[in-house]
Amino acid sequence: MDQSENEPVRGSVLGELAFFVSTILIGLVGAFLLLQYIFIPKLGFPGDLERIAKLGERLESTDQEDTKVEIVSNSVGVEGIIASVVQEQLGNGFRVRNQSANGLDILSGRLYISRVLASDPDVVVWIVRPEMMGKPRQINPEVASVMRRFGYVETAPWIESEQATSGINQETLDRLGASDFDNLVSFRTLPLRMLNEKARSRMRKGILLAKPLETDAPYQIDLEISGDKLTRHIDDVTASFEDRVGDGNSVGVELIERTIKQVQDASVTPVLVLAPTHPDATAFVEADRVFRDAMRGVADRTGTILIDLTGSLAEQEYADAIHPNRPGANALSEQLGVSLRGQLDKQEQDR
Amino acid sequence: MLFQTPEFLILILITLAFLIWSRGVARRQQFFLLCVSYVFYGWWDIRFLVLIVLSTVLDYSASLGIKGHRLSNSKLLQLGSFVGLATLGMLVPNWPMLQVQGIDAFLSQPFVTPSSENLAAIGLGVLFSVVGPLSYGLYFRLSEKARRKAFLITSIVVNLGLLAFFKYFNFFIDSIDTVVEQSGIEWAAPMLKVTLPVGISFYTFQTMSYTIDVYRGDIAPERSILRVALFVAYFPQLVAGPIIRPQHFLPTLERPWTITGASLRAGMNLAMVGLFKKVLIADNVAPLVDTIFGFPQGQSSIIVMLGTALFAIQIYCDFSGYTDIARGISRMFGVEIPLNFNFPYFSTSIIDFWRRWHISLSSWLRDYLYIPLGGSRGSSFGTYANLMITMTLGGLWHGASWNFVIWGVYQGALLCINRVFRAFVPAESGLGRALMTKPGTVIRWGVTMYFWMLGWLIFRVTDFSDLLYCAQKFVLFDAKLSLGGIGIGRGDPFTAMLAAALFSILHFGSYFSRRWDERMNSMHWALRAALYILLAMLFFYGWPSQSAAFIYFQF
Repeated sequence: MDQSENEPVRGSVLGELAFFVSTILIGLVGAFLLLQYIFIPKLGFPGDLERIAKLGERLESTDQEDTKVEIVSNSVGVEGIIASVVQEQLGNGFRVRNQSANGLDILSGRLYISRVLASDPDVVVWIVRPEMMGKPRQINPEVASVMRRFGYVETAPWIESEQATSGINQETLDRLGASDFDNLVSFRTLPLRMLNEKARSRMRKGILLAKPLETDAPYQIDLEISGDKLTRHIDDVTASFEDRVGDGNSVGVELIERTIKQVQDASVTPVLVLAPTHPDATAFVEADRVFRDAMRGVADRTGTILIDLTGSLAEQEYADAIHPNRPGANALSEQLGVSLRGQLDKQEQDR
Repeated sequence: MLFQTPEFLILILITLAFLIWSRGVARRQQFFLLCVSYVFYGWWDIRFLVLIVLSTVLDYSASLGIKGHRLSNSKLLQLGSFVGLATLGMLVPNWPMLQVQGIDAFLSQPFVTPSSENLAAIGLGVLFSVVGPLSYGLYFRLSEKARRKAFLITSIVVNLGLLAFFKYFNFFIDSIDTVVEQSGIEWAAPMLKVTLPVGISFYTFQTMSYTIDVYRGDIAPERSILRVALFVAYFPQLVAGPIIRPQHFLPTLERPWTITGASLRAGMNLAMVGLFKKVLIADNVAPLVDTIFGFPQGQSSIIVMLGTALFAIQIYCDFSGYTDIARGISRMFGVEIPLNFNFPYFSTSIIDFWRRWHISLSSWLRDYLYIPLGGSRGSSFGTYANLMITMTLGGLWHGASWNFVIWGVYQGALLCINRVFRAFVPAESGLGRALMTKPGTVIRWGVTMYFWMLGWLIFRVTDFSDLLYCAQKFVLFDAKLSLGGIGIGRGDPFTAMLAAALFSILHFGSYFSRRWDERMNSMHWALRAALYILLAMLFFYGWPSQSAAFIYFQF
């Protein structure tokens, strides 16, 4: 082959490259613009993320005259607390709202409570579970991106200073500190996620999505498990608790204490509630004791109201090992209301 | 380094720029491509590059020895020193620390901690660099026939020995341990933490074919070690094939590679098709497949079948996607790599399937194992035995697990049954003619797919009780039609089904008309621009947050 045959058509090579790169870039820019101006505004966020995103909206509609009680929890609160039942027990002069969101753990819960405090509540009721102890689990990347987008970082200036001790990983910090552009790009799979969410909710009969603006009963579970499945779930939960609770001295406990102090510093009354677990979780007894002792320690050190509801429900009041069913939600809410009323009255008398 | 990462894109752009700049100078191009290939491989773990260097030097010198070209002592000294220095350079510095934890950690501990494994590996490398040149001279004291055999056997033993050690050591020890334990004898199995070097099965077969072809007289030995090294380590196909043959690749190195606008376009289009298959189809189907087969017990027949069909799409798009990207990149550089997949899911018999699936491996097994064993030249029994041996070893090639052995036996049995059927039902018989009609072809296709899918279950479900459950559900249909079971877990059912539907439509279109990359090559520029824009948008929305490594990397 002679050199003239070897001589590549330089312009053609560069032309092909330029054509390819420019069209790909046009496609990417187009996709980005569609995401920003069409998909995110029209579609919102899938299920549980939407509820976290809409916290600000729920908080803005606060009635200013009554004593504002905000209940914060994860799926146990979403499924197991009916704010109107709690309010019934508290009586007039109170405005109780259930702000719980699925998946809130110690780190995301801490950010969440900081955001709740920005709306100037009077009482924050925080329902905690044993899995919040131990080494903190990382915040789900999508949850972190939603939190960054909806003002959670602005109400949590402690993040940077706490990085070393709280165990927040770099990906979470990157997501929380992302630029507007990066934050938007992190939602690029949103259209597909929404379609998947719809498909999944049609197939998983009985499991509903929490309503984003609902502050009474975000949803109540329709699906209950029993027999072998329930036994397996209890075993899994028990094993997980035992792993996480340890000897009761952990970063998780420290973070719970810091959060309580943060609530107090904002002149808000914190109430620590210990969530119930299925009575058949017998292997859980030791971890349960350690958990309760650790939380009592936190309450004593901070002078916080502690309401222990760990053994408050009968086995027929559970949908699985952790979550109350419909009758369970009523019973739990009623007990929470009664105890809260008693504790708040006692605190008032002490003053 | 994965194809679907930004660092690989940078590597490709640098390589393209260099090849364009260095046109007309083959040696310069080859040296640069070799460096790029070593960077590509070393990006994963530099230490294992020493295996590639060792195989290269061994097969280069063995093939010359087979042909009677005696290397000079100074050349032997150079080769020995090269292997020795490569061993010390790759195994003594603490490269894993640098690659995983960064420069600060590396500077605090720049050399590996002496351990029995490290010292043994370094010792073996150095020993090879000394013993190799010495034994090379000794081989030339043998008769020609004995010398040729000695060089061939040395090459095969060392190459297969490395493969056996790195890929199968723990598997064999585990298996022996199980047998010994069951027989009640007390025995502490020697367990070593052996990491599987990426692509070792591919490049070992490739380099072995070079020496065997020289021995058979099919090709002349290559005088330039640079060219042999590039043949062994050519990066687009290094870690997952196609397994290229020396007679296809080495002649392309005799002249400089030329990049033209047409080759660049054709290569980019093929690579885009491959990326589409891998990222948008395979990676989006994978989570649902994982959900279904993660806890398969309790799933209905329809879900097991759906999971199997989705896995069939996943593995095809994953592997053929890799091949398309590899072939596309090579085409950009101006060199063709042979086809590895030819619409296997349109096969109408198992024999036909193996001619269309992983063509470079099945043809390798045919040429270097099945035919040397006797192929179909002997008795019927001999032919079936050769098929069973070939396919069982072919199964084991895929991985060190009993699943793959069973899969290989199953494939061998299917091929034997296929041959028996052909013998009993000749094409000219009534049934044979009926099966060649359109409805008959559909029936043959359906039967082939059913048995092939059952084979994918063996391939995918590694736990034996799960496998038995799934196989039972696959064979005995339970008539439960609910798809509720796929709505739970981390799998995204809509995305997976959308990807599967998209694949099916495009694949049918491609089979009954033209391949998509070929269509794109000849499209009007405006239509091509629209397609690129659409593809970019699809990649933007559909590229999973966690893109997985290619399945065949583990083989």
